[in-house]
Amino acid sequence: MDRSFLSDKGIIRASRNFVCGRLATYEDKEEGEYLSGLFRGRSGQLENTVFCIMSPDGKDRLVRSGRSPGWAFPGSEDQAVRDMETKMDEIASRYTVKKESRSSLPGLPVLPNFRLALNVAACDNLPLVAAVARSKDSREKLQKQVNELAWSKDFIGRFIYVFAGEASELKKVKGIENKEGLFVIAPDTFGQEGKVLTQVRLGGGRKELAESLARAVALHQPERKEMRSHNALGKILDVNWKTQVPVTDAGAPRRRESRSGRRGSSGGRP
Amino acid sequence: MRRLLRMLSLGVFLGLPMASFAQERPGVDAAPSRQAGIAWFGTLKSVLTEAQRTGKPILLVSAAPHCHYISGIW
Repeated sequence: MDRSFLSDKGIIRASRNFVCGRLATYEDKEEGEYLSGLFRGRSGQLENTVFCIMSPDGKDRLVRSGRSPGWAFPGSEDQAVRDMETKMDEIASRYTVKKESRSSLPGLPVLPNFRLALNVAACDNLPLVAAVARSKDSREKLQKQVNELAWSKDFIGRFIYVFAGEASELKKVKGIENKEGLFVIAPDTFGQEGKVLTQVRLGGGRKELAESLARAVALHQPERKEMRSHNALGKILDVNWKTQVPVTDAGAPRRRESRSGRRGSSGGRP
Repeated sequence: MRRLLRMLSLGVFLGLPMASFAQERPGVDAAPSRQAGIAWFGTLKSVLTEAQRTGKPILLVSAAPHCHYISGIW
């Protein structure tokens, strides 16, 4: 099982010396073309999952690419995880981090749209932080504030992030009180609706934002998901995620026709 | 009883392929986590921009945010 690779403490530690990218397969055509160049299945098509470690310019494969870390690091699970950690440390030691980047933080790791972000948050069982600001100035200020918190020791890797220009983009979220500001949202199990855990009006200070994130971490108590029961319930509820580009994984079934066009056929429940 | 057995057989028949399909899902742990995890960038553009800015190598995974078109699970 490769789930253990990327939630292993040693791998998480080693990951801090990497730029970590997790793309959503079949949600962007250009990304799909890039991923296809890294790995294709027996059918010659892009499959649901891809794994690789790449050079900083994104051009050279530094380990064998495949569907999962297990393709590059075979063997028993424990040994494979340790092999991956060792290899990551060795790869990181080959590259010198640019001096000019050391004094500044990375950009905020946002997802491209709210619909996808809410789903990814549900997949990860993490709260979603939505920063809503209409004007460019307000957005930049809020982004800077959130970014400093996002990369802090207390909050790194604990949230999914997205920007929105209007609170109306969050129409499937219950409990929105402000038109702009920071909203920390608990996604429902299928990532199609959500409810506000905490919110801060636009103009809130760093302390207020930090307290909001800390409270949200404490309040968010998702249930563990088990794939078979999740899928069974999803079928009963007619959940039907629509991808942005066609699924080409040979192992995936064809997309169902929704019984009544509900729940995700065009982007989520009504 | 016969109906129950038929349903159980169907469950095994449908369940096995799904289970093997599920094993190839990187970057995910459906269990609630109280620990800091990997900080993922979610778009290729942001990954390449950040890697160019820092000179760091890239840990790259991709996964579909649905299973058999049921969202909410990798």
